[in-house]
Amino acid sequence: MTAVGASAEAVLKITDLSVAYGEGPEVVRSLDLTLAPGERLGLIGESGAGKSTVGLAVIGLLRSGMRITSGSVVLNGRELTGLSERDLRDTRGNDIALVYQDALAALDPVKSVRSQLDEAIRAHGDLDRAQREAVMLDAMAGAALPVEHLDSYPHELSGGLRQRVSIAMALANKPSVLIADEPTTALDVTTQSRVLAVLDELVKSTGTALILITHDLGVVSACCDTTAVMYGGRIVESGPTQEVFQSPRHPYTQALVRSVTAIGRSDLERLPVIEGAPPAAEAIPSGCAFAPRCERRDGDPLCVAESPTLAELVGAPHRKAACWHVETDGSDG
Amino acid sequence: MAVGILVAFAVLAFSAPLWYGISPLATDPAHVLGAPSFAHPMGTDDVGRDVFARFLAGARISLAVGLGVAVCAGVVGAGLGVLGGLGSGWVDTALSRLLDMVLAFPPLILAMAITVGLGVGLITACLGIVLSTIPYYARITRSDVLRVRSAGYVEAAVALGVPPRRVIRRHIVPHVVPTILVQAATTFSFAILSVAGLGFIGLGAQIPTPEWGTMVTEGSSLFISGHWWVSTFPGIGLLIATAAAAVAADRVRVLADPHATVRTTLA
Amino acid sequence: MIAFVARRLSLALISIVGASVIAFVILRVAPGDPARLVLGQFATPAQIAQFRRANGLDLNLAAQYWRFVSRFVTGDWGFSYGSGVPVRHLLISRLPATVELALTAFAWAAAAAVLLALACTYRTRPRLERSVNAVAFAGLAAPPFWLALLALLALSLKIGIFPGPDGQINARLAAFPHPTGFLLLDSLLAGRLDAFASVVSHLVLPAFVLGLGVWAYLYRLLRANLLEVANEPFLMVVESKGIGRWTTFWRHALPNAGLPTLTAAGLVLAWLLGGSVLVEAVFDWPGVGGLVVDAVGQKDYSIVQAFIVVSAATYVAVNFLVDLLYGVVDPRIRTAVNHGAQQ
Repeated sequence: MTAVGASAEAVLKITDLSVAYGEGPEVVRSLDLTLAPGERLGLIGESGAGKSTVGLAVIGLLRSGMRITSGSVVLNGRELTGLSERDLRDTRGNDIALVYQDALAALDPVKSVRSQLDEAIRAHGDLDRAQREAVMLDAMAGAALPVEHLDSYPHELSGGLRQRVSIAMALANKPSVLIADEPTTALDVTTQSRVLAVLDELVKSTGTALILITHDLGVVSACCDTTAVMYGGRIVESGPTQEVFQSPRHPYTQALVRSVTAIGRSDLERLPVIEGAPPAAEAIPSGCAFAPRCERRDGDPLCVAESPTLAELVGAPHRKAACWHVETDGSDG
Repeated sequence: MAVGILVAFAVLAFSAPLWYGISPLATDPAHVLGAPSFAHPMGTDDVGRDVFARFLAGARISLAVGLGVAVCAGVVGAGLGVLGGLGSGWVDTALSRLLDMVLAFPPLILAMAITVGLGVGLITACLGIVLSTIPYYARITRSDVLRVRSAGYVEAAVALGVPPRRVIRRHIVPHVVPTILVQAATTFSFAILSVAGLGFIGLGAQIPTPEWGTMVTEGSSLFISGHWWVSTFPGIGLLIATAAAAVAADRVRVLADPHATVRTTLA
Repeated sequence: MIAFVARRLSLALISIVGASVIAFVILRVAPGDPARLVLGQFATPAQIAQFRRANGLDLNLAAQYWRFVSRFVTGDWGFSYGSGVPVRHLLISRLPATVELALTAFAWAAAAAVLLALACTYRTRPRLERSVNAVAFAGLAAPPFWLALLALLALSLKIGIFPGPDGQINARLAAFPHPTGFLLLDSLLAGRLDAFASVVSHLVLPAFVLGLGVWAYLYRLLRANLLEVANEPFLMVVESKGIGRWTTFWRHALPNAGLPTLTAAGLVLAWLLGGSVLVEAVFDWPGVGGLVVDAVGQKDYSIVQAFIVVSAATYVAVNFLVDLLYGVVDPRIRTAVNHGAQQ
């Protein structure tokens, strides 16, 4: 079970994680994921694939009604599932932090940047006023935020600045893991790259491991060491970003990569599409979730009968895929 | 359910003369301050009047007052609101200022003032409450009309040349009516409580009218001597009627605005 | 900012002037000739004419209005027809008791509304919520004067844990100086714990009854506003910083939900003003409300008139202050206002 890039001991290790909505269907299904210190992992998938839910489950902030039904989340050697609310609180913002997707909705509109930043710092450790001020300025500088915005209110800042406030807030206590859930979707394209650059720089300098949740392959290829592709609540392929993008193995990843690289071409009319739509959580097929849309399946009854496990590729042990038609250590043929 | 209670109340109260023989005003010196019994389900007061008969008569008054005030203030207020919302700028401004002046009074205090000015009594008390609730209708209707008026589909209808009369009937009225209904239910309970309050301090119905608030006043001195039933029952009547109307207001709000379901059922 | 304040102020002034006209017109048609009321049935026509001249009743309506307003502004609110005491003195001497009662009622009502609305929202608690909602409906629907009687009967006459309807304090206790007029403070300042205990026990029932409706109203409003805020992502972000759920709701959901609740301050005041008239009488509370009820009974309308005008002025003033406060508290409006003023 060594995952990609996990040469050092993992900072975050998710094993067999399942999340369900009430007594209903599972949104995330026995998911395994390992993150090395400082690793930047891109978690890609279409909306509804369960990627945001993974992020929220890890930090213990699932929306009411959602709950972890099985599995474990180990952060720095400590099991997070089943931890008391108080212990979880000590972990959040200190060892693991979150940057929320909608920059415009992520900050309290009636509190100043200073008070919201201070709140994050004050929640962990008892620094005096001057020390906190220093940490604050440090965090602002790290996120390339001009100091004069410290006493601004969120509505006075642009979306890009607001998201940088979120980033400064999340990284103020130098957590070992940062979950960034679609951190740039609410921003326009030029702002996006700027915010991503800030995030990238900051993660590198603080040595924080990053889970970047996105549906944008470009973002992942620009700033992630490794990539995990989610489909129907599972990871279907993972490995070093460059390798995954250059030679995708899982049919879903292949289709995904094809549809993006096509954008560079001029004949936009023949943009390849993946036929069909991703399954809703309550209608995930019993076998491989992708089977109904798969080009490679070719009527193989195994694909609809049994779900393939995520296993190392033969000849490329640092890469994994979950497909009956890809040669892996876990499959029989 | 809430509306059911109100309707049941009304049916019982207004049919009472048919099935309950005792007059609310008939005194009976032989049965003064009798505790609730089979003959007098709610007891008798200090001059031997049957409290149950008075309770039923009080229900007639309260329900009539609630309904009357809600309808009168509703018709005038909503009319002014539509006028302000559809009228030209200066009509709207003038109306708004006028209503602001009325709104400068706390509602119950304005009702007090009008009652004092026009002469103490049940009718003037009702008139006072009507006047003090009109602006609330008008304001809420006006803002609704303005909202609907600038809605895309209304502007489209106007642009297509639909005659104004038809636009108002087809597009504006259906939107405004639920809002007015909610306001009417709220006004209904406010009116009942206010008339009782004015009656209690001597500005509403006068003794010996069997109005619930006045009845509470009459019984209040008897309370201390332990004759609790004279004041308690009219109070319970007030509580039930007002609460039912408040619940009904919430229900109408939910029915009128499906999106607000969560908010209003819980709040 | 100045333009904003000026606009609001002018609107408030127009309201007050309008209200004073309305009050004047209404009360000038009041039945009963003040001259007869003051001088009694056996006054001669000459005495009455003399009285009418002295009080400006022979002037035309506009002049009478002007006389009424100018005198009112300068503090001449007329005399009580019954006792001959200046109305202003009467009202002012009764004011502290009413303010003390209203503030106590408001304090518990607001605190309970905030705590219960938060408790019902920060976690899903269907059972607590259902019971609180039921009580809130009852609180809105129950006539305060009737509730006051019931409370007296149950807790004072039957069980006897609270004193009966005999005002603010046990009259048999030795007197102490009243520098502030608020007995809670005065008794403490005088170091009189026995008096303080008596004041508190006298205050509990009326404050409870007067505050119940305010509590119910504020609770329902705050709860609705909290529900709207409860799903805002920024609350989750706060939690992701390691802040507990209660603290998150207290620090962030409450201010956001509380701002729109501020606009209800006017209606709360209206409730307290109207309620004090209804409740004080029952408890024989030596406040303004009781004074007004007595005045109504004795047809002493100069007191009622002054009370009505003062109520309206206070009401407009509070609504005006809330408007301003709203601008100061909400940074979004504050900026908008500042920008507006610069243009």
